[in-house]
Amino acid sequence: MTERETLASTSDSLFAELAELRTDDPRRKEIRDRLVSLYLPVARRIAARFRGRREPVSDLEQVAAIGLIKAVERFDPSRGVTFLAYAIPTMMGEVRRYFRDSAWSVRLPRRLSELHLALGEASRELAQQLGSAPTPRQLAEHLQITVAEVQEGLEAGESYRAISLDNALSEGPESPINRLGDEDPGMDLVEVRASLRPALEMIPDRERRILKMRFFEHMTQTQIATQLGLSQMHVSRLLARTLRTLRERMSETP
Amino acid sequence: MDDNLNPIIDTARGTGTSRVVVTIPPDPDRLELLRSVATALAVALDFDIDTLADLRMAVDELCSMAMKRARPNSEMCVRFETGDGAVSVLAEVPVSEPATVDEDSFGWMVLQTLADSVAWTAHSGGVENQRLEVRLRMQRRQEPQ
Repeated sequence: MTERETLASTSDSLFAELAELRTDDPRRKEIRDRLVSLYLPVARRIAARFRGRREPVSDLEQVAAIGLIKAVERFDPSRGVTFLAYAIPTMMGEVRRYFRDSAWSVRLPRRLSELHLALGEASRELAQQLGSAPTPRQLAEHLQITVAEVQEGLEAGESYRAISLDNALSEGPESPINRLGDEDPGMDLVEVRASLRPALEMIPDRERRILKMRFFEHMTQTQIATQLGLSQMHVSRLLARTLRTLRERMSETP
Repeated sequence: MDDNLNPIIDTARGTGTSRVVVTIPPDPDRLELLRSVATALAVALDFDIDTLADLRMAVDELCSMAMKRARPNSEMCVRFETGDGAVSVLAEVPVSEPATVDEDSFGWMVLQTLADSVAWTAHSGGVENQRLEVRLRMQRRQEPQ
């Protein structure tokens, strides 16, 4: 048995034990703690992938550990994925969100980030009322601001340069992260060109899903946003960034 | 020319036309500028925010496509035009060898999904004048209120 298999079988039995206990059983906490400490080295490895950025590694380890705790709480063994396959994206998502939020506060003046948030909220409300995406003029009326301010706020969300975290995650074809998400169905419905496939495999699951919804299932951004519980602007930002990443990847390997 | 002095007011009614021409080095760092021009024109036409975001991505894709094929140290010319509730973008670059666009590529598929129409033309005309032109058009989705 490899180390990984041992880990997997230990955690399988712990999760099985957990499933047997009633929700108010005090032993649940104990089992969860054991699971968290079992996988803590994985959280550290994920944090280490982001070394060299401004944030101290110890902060990142904590952030990754928070992701791990969430993963332990939310994991449902009956879904048929291994805990690791579930936990790694959760931890990475946590680290990514941390970067996004801190990059956000550093780069965007407060007025703009507030405006951006207000626009996200308003576009969700209006989309529900209207049944389609609002226009800048409708947003302006709704928020009692000018159309120029709306435009500024819309662009503010995209113009900040997302640190290309995805690059940090693709250190080699052997990394477990790159093998994750291979099961994502649907993409192969389409004839995806050979050149695109390796680049696509490096895109985080959620981004790939959004890409698929927009370009293979032809959903609008507002529809995607509603389905995923995000704002249209967030979807738009993720899509634009994913396309940019794909472009960069594909030009590296013509 | 006078008609173009106040394009925003004209286009807001969806009747006027306006044209913006930008000449830049074919450098991806300039994409943001190009996106902004497209956005400003489309906001004036009262595009909904889905279409706006699609346009921004399409401009990114279209212009990177041209940039990638541009002759080194050349200039890229991007023409934005509005009229009849639509924005058209045309990017043109000098190329060193006859350039083509692979219509089976993912990039082209992205463009076809985002824009109402996309097209490309290779202009030959002596080594010095070989150019590649890519263009798209996006229409406002609904009538302005």
